[in-house]
Amino acid sequence: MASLGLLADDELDRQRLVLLAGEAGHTVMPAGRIQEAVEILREYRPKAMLVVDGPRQDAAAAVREILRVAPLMPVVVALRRRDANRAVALMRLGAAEVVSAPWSREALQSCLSKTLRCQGTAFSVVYAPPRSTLPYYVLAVLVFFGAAFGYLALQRQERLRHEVLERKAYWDMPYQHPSGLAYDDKSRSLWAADWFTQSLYEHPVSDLSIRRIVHFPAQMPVSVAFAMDSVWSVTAQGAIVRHMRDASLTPVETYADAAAHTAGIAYDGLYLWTCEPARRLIYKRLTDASLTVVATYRYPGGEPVALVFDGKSLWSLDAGSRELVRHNLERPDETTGRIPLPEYRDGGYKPRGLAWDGTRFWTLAEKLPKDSGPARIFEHADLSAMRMVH
Amino acid sequence: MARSATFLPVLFRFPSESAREDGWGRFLELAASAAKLSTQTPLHPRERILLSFEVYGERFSDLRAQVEHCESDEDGFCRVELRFQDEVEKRRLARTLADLLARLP
Repeated sequence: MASLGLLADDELDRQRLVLLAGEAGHTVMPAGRIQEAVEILREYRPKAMLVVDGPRQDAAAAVREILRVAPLMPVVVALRRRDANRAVALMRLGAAEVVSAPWSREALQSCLSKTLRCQGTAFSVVYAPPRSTLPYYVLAVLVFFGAAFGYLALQRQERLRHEVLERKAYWDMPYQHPSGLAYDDKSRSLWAADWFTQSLYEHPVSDLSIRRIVHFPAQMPVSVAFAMDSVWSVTAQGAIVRHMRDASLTPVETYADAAAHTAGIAYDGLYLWTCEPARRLIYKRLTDASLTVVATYRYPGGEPVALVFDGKSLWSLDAGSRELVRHNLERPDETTGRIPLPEYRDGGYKPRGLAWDGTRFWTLAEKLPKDSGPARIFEHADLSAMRMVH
Repeated sequence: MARSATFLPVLFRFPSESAREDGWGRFLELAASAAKLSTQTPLHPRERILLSFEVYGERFSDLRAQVEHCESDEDGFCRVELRFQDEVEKRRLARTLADLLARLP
């Protein structure tokens, strides 16, 4: 609500505009002549002046006089008849706004409120269009749906990974005392060692049936590894035996210097690796005449029962923590990753042997308690799907 | 962007086929190619009007413009966005505005 001065020579116009402005919530101080209007300006200092343009009173002269007395006074001119040229001419003279006939409360209120908020025209050579909010809405919607789909995709990926990990792929074997496992990439088969029957069992990976049994009357094989042109095995007596890769795996040479409890053997193409769970040691050997130990490393885990080389890294099977352990090949006492094996989570089997077929691991397990059931071969998930713990 | 102490008044006419009375308003913003106008006369998007106004002593008569957007403000006035159509007049307006802005303190 504001106080307004009103200049109108006609009594009827004055009454009408006082009524309209009063309905719009303004206090009006009317004047019939320009001198009275100037008195109102000086005495009451209204927020704006309302001037009626008529034949007996020139609004242009009134606007000039009001602005001479009060230069910053907003002046609204009310035209008795609509005339755009006259309106613009009055505005050029300084009228803040012009309202045309027929006068209405809404039109008058609009003009007065607009006038009381006058700011001035903004000039610029280059037009800067208002920034549209539509792209931000679109972006926000896209981000929302992107995040939602991403979350769902992650959930699905995690669920599939769990399904792969939880998938039980195992085969029960007709022997009960497994001690080692190896993969022969030439015949694409797994070889399992059973110390009680003193035999090696060949199982094609396609169906894990028994293709061949090789019996060793003079040996008790606990671990086996395949090299390019020979097969290496460790016996329970502590010897390492080199075999020919013929049908009967004929023993060629026996090396007696392995520890009595050597459990795992692996060949990386240059060195022969063995592990001893009792002392938790890993041995690095040359394949010379005496299998010379060139280095000994402390095992970074609980109970190493098997070793395997996957072409890049040395892996061990830790029967204590039921994990696959990846070793730094230069320093096998350092681990570069661990993979828990959920297949052994329930404690029903103890891992004994480990093999790598180029894409996935296979483990050979003994039923617990001992002699209570058949050995079991587990096929594990692809290495890429297994969760590595560093 | 500079701002004058008062709004610049503008007279606008409609093409004869529209058969509408002339209107008037004030520029809220004025640039060489576009303007924002406040008026009590209702205008509609894509409507063509002819603007007459004077900037810094330079008179522009019947400058062709097209209404791009129109919305009602809090006072009940139409807030109109215009695009000028006359390339020659746009260049003259640009010179005038550049001259005006160069003289500002």
